[in-house]
Amino acid sequence: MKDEKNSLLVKIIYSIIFVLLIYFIIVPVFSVVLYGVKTETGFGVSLNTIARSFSLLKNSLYISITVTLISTVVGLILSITLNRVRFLGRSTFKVLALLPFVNPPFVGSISFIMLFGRRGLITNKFLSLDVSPYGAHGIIIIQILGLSSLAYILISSSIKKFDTTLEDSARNLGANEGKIFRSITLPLMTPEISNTALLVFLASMADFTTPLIIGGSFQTLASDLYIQITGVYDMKSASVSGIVLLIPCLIVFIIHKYYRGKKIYFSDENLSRNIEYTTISSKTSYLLITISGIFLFIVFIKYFFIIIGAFTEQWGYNYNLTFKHFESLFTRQYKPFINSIKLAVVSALAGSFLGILSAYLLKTKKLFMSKFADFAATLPAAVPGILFGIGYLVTFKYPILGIGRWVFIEKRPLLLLGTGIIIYIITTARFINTGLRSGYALLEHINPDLEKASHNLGSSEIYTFRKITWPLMKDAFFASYLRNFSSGMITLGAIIFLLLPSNKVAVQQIFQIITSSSVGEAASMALFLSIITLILLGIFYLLIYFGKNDKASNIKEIFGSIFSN
Amino acid sequence: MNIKIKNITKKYEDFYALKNINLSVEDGEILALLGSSGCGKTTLLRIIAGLIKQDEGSIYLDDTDITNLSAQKRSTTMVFQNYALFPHMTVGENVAYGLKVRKIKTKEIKNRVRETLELVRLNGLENRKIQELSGGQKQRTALARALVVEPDVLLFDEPLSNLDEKLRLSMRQEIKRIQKKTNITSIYVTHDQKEALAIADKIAVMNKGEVCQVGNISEVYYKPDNYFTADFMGHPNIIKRKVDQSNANKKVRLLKENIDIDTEKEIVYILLRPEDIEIADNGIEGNVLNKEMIGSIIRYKVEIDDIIIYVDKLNKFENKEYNIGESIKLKYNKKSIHIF
Repeated sequence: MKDEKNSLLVKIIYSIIFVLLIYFIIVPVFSVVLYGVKTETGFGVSLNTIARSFSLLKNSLYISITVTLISTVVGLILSITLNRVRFLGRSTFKVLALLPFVNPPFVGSISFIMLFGRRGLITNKFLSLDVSPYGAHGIIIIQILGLSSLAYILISSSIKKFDTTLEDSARNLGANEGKIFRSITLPLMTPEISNTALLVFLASMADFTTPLIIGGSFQTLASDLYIQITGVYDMKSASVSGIVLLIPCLIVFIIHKYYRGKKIYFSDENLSRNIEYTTISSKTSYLLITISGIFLFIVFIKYFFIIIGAFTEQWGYNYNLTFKHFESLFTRQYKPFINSIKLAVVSALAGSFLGILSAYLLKTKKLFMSKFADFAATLPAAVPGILFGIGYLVTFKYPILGIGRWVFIEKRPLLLLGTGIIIYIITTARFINTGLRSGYALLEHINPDLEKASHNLGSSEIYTFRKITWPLMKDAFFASYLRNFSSGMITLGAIIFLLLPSNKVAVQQIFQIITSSSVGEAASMALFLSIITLILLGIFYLLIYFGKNDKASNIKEIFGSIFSN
Repeated sequence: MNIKIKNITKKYEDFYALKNINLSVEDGEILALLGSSGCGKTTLLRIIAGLIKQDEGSIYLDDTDITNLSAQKRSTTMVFQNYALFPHMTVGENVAYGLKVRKIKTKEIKNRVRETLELVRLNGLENRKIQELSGGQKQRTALARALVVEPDVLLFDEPLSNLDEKLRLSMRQEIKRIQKKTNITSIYVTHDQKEALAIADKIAVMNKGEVCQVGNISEVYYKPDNYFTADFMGHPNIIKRKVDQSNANKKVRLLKENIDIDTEKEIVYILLRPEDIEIADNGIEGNVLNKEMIGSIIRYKVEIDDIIIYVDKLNKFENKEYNIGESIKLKYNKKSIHIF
């Protein structure tokens, strides 16, 4: 039951959040669309631009659909093998499967270039080929290597909630293991698998970096946005491409958001159940382990060559061992890393807090246009980061958060664009979603009468939130924070057009270095970024959960459910 | 079919979930495994179904050893505690599942599903989704799904624990009716002694992975042979006494009287059921410490010397009520006590 009457405080806080959501999410997205279709005289788009965008859309869909299909299958196999089959070395497999998650998607291109590039180890050294590896296939491989990890995390979180008594029940009725998998296990996981596929699809559509690095002449909508703005300075074409990119993403997002939830079969009662197969045949388990093993071996190769590359003088020409890349990193290039950490920490804190607060308000109070607020807060999950960034670009080049263009026509404007703060705002805006999901997931487990009990005992609303609700929601906050922090360390699309030379982040630096083909330096920085991300995650984890083992498992659950929501 | 369980042992690391269990159930009989949670009763049921592998021991169905048969190949269907109905299938599809797996012809499947749904009184609900069913209907569907394959043995894992009191009472009659009608040998796990008494022909009381006592319901109820069983069957007056061996005739002291007994034990328990004690004009004097009105009976807590005795009195209109603090006189038939 939601509260019917709200105090003034709740109304004020909600109004502020509501306005922020409109200003920093709805307006920018709307602006891109408007910018794309508006002409001097009215609305319209030239046919040429559209035709161009649609051929790029074809490329995008080709890449994304292929990547989605393969990554989802790989993710499914990995999550079954690593969660349900017991074998030696499973924890090593798990670490490898998770590693790509703390890397920006394009990092795999480093080893790809080292192995298959013009001066690549395999193509050039061993096979003496002079072929260009650049094109669609490279993009697909790199994205699969990165996004299968996402699919693995998503499907794992649902597999852990699987009610294995249903399988026992089928077994008890005489079904063999294959039949059980086809008729029970797979159908019951289908909603979660399709959700995973949708999220992988969105991530693949939004990735502009991989096509830029190894796409060669094969470009996608997302990468074209980047080229149009940085290379050709054609905001108009970029916005049109943006609209064409936004449409499939929004469709997928809306299906994801409103169609799901109707067919979820998992119950909370089975969280601690042992999900390992007890009766799997050794043939099946060897097959699963082999497939997972091959995939994870490729992941291993990817990291192995990044490490090698980081210590090699100049790949393809001079294979001497060197520390010079790290030297330059620590002497001249360390600032972007500090900026990255600052950005990730601040926006993860702010985004998680706003998200949790919104979740709390939207779930427990009866509020004006709450459906819309929920939509606005989750929208950034659908909008490719680079497009969202363009939205900020076209909105906040006008004064007063974009609205001022109609107010201060003559006066010297107060611009948000070109300030250091805008990247914090946009990253926070994108992170609210995670907090919201995490908050929703937790609130489902909290008895709504707890708050009423506290009011009933005479405590005020603020006191109740501080002493009752917040302590209970802390876990959701921390889960959201960890997730947002790791995304924050590798975020690029949304901020790439908004960064100033002074607040350059590490991912941008790595991206620029790769495009200028300096493999060793890029490898050393990518390696360093992964390591500090992992170390910081470890430190946060210890700070939050030190000595609280029971909490840790609780968090892992919520952490899992953020992804699947 | 009869089922024999021989020397079943199951260990989880250092913990014995089951210790050397021996049980047998005759053809058409229903055996209740009764015990509190964690006593191993569900583990035993799952071992019989083949869903858990035992460490030692064997299981026979009509003298056929099924110990090493996989779960799929045993004809021991189970009604699961939370029903374990397939949520993505309709009632009809759930019931038909076991038949489809057995590759039975579609037409026959249809007929058998219909008949079975009639038997459990769910006719007409074939196309309902599981989510649309009430608790009782889910229970009936789970029962139908297990029955339809005509199993050798039916296994029930606390099937009524998720239902409310009223539904539980009517469902346990239903289960008994259907079990008697189909005459399928059954094993029924429960922690509720009343349910066990109402449903079973035979009860095995379990504690800490061991069977304390097996017998038909009157044996277990009237003649428990150990403290755990007596206590678990809900008997409140179990009095521990040292046997007086000073004379040739051994005696124990109970309610100001000496009772002759014939035992080798030094310590015995005396079971005196509260419904066997009467409040009379003359008898053993006691003091009412408390009284509880529990529907059809009033239970008095009476202190006699050093012991507390509970006395049940039918809550009839014409019966006199006694108040707390009042002194009353009790008598009982010495034949009604059970000493073990």
